[in-house]
Amino acid sequence: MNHPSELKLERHLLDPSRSSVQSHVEGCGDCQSRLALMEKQGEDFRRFVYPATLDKVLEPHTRFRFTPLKALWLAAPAMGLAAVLVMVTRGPDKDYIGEKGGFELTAYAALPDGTRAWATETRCRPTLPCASTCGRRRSARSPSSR
Amino acid sequence: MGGDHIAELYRQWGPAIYRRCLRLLHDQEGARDATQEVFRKALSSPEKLSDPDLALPFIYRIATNHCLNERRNSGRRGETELADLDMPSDHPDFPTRRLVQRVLSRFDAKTQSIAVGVLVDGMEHEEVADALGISRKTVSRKLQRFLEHARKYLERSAA
Repeated sequence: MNHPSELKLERHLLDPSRSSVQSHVEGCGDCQSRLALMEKQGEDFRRFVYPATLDKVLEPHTRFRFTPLKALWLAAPAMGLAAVLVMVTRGPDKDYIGEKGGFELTAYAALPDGTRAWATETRCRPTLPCASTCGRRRSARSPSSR
Repeated sequence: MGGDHIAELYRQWGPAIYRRCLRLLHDQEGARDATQEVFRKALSSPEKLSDPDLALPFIYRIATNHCLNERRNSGRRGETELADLDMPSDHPDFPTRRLVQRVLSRFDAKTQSIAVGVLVDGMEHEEVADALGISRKTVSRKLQRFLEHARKYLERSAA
């Protein structure tokens, strides 16, 4: 008697209603034993092998992979942050008065032998608001008069 | 493909892969490792796994090739002797199967798969052709060549 191959028995296990070996299996003790062993091995897979190996099977599909498209998504927040920084630090307002190195005030005296510098070397510190330290001096010498 | 879908496919086809690996490797631990490897290879063609008519021959082919490679490689590394390929000594095909076992490792992977399919698993030529994705004529031709070379090999060994 020719017994069905492993592949046919696998098909039988998968869907007995469509099996081409159903009638043979029903009357064959050897094949019933083979099927019982195959079912037991399948059960071993479900109970022991599946839980122990599922993570490794899924690993390549869940691991983060760096692709150019993902790089674009990562770059987007960085570009947004850069734009905000540029806007915040873009420079002084229209009414800002400033000079590289700070202000220098020189007073001149009209003397009989000519005009001479009377006092000088007063500097505004650029880190401090000019109005609080030398506002009067600054108003005495506006940029337009220089 | 999502993780849930892959897990479902693994649950569906894993038992058949495991059985095939266990049958060819005769080692539970080896079969466990081989099962996940075979399934990962099978995932390269997810459309075949989704079609029950295509899936079984497909995973059978991958599992057979993978396990025969494993056996060949472990034999080369000297780790283990080739395990017996389910050959009860009172089986009428025992001499032929013994012949298969002794000379199997001398042939290429496809010929090995054909020889194991026909002479060990008892598959029909058409089934083997279907499982390996080759023509029935190729199965017959390669099997014939295998048997001729195997006999010559044994005659030389005996002399």
